[in-house]
Amino acid sequence: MKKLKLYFLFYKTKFLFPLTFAILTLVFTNIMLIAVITLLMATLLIWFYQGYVNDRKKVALYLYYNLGISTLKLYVFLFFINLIVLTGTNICIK
Amino acid sequence: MKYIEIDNVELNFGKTEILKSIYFKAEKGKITGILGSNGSGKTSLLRILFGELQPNNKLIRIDSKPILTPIYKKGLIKYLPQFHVMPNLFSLKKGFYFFDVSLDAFLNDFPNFKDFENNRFSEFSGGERRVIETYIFIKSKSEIILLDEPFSHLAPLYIEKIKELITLEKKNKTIIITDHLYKDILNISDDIYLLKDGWSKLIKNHEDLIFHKYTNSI
Repeated sequence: MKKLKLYFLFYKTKFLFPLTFAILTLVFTNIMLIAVITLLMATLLIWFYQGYVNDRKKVALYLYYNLGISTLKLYVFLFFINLIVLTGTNICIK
Repeated sequence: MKYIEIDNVELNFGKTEILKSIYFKAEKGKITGILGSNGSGKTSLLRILFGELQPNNKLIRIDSKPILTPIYKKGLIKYLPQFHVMPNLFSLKKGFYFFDVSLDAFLNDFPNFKDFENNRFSEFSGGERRVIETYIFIKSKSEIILLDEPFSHLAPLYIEKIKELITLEKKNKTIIITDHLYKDILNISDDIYLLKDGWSKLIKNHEDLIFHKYTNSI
């Protein structure tokens, strides 16, 4: 339960950019596959931006590392929760 | 777990060699101090042990068994870096909750924090945050504790209290500590390693530090 709370804590800080891009892509193209690819690309983009530009010392990640959660797990969680939201949005649109 | 060893560490940042040939052993029930001048690789060594930094080469063993995955993923280790770990918006209670450490015990040890248990971390001063975070890491249930400059920015009374707590906790843990306040490190450590020119040297007596030009006097 504690770990799940931590994953959501991370999710809250990072979900907006990739999800917004993916939903906009879905709305404009109406093709789920392109929206999923956009979501994946935006998630990877935010990962690299954080890792190589914004937080090179990984200051924000040490909390998670100390509680046994790796960067990969955090971004995979971010992607899949956003994917669920995107799928829900797709169902609502149709 | 009885001891952790790290061997054959080689780390380069670009063309700069930071660590060349390191051997380091830390035992349960002992405090192992690491000393070294600025840029000697103390923090890098701790990050490598923690598993967050991947060097060119390394071999980590716990009780003689090689460890191939980062230790932090196993939940065996805590690493207090030089910067603040707790998010600004975390309350004191939340910080203790996530690390499974008793807030009541903390308030007994540091009664001056009693009125602030609902405060957010951003509302504490840098030194107060350092005390809280150091306490949480020392008291956490992990077997290996890495402390990177825990005494920085702390008032002398807090330093003494933290030293007491570290000494108390060492019975059940492997504690590795580094700081530029070397007298405090010498004071509490059972074993001392000096990092110099990418090498590690086990310090047998304090005069070795003068011999290796780490300090002029003890």
